[in-house]
Amino acid sequence: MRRLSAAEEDRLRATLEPLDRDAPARWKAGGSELWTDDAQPVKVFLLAPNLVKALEGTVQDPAPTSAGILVGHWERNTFLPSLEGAYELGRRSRAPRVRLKPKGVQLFLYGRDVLSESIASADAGLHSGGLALVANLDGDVVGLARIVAPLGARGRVLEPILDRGWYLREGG
Amino acid sequence: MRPPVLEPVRVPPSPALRRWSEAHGFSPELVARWGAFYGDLPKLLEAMRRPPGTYLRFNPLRGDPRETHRRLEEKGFRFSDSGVPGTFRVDEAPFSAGATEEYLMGRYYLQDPSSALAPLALEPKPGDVIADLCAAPGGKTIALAAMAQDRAAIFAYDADPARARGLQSNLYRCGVTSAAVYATPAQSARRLGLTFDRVLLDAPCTGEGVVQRDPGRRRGQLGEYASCAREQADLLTVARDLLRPEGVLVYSTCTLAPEENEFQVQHAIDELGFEIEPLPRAVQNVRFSGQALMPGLQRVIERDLSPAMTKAAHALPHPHGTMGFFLARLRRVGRQ
Repeated sequence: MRRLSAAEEDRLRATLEPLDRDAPARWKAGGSELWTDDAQPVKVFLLAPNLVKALEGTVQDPAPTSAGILVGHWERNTFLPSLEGAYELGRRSRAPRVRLKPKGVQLFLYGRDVLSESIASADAGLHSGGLALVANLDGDVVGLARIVAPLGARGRVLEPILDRGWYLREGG
Repeated sequence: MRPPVLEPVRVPPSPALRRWSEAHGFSPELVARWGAFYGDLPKLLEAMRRPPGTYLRFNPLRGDPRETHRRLEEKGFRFSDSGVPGTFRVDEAPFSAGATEEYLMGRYYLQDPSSALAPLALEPKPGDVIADLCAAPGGKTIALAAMAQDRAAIFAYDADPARARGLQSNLYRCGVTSAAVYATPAQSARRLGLTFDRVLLDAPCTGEGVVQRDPGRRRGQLGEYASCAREQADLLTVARDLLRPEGVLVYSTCTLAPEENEFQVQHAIDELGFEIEPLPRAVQNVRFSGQALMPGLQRVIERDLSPAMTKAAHALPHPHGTMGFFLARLRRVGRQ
């Protein structure tokens, strides 16, 4: 496991453009760092400063399977945020988001599509085909979705990509 | 170095006890031992057959605990004090406490209050380098991270890949950025080239203390003690090797067996260069059902143990209404 190189961070920034180009810098606020492993798929982790300091002094034999929180992984040339990557984007950045009514959150956490009537509010700049963070009314990000129809349209408008219900279904 | 005591203490069950145990699905050999070590057997067995409560610990890394408390109360949950700071008993739940939005957000973790004692006893601080040698499923690791404000460096081990994945997932869910997970035996921590300020060894054990949650453990066999005790002694040696001089170890188990508790602590004192020290005030002040923790045993049948063993502590099903849990705080003495 090693620190993300400047080139890798640039690539990360570019691929996160639709959500928040400055996300990597915001993730690193307070001295946290982005590290990566060289496993397949290649994962990106956010580490607290003291963990970085301690890990730098270790012999990685064996290497950790995980350090800090997983913020996402690379699939070919696209960076896919993880649940915690999406959560941290919501917490530390201005990435655009859709806020759902409580019933909508509940359904979303079951992995169900979101209907327009479940939406309480949405940030400007969200458009069909794009990605949106999905939040509850308190602003906590509960997942990530693809916008499949204009948010004002009737019927199905968001298709879940990630939802925190995963922790119950598969997370252990 | 002398090996730890591996031969289990045998207490012959009376015919009446044997009949009762067999009628209730308990191993008579275990029941006879519990009576000899902890007394008040009818109460202990009654407590062991009671369904366990649900408890949770709020996670400040994922939001203000008061706010989480408020949100859950709005949903119809009701709580009371568990006796351990930050851990609450769920008295009323409109649905499973493990299926709320707040749980999925990592705002709390489900954990028995007796288990919450171990991190409290270790007293992690920001900047500490900590090893958690048998970390899955992660409740204690999350508590350590939270107590150190996510500013320690925690090296968490679990040799079983599936359990290590569960640990990882729980750390992610609860927003812990200060821990690294190793899906390898704790022994591999020796190769890191680090010295640790603190080590938590919540050792694999026969689990006699959790029969309320896992009734299968009522049928435990005396032969299991030796293999657990051997592994525990080996892990204590690992802990000794990792700690800096004056570093702190908390040794804990969820069993009632002295071979896995007091005898291991005695071995650590006699052979591994540890001394036992009083548990921190925060642990000493804990009251379960109004009762202070029970001090460690100084004498087990014919065997005398260090008088300092009273600095260790038990939480027990009958006076305390918790799972059975043992813990001791040890300090590594001597030079590197």
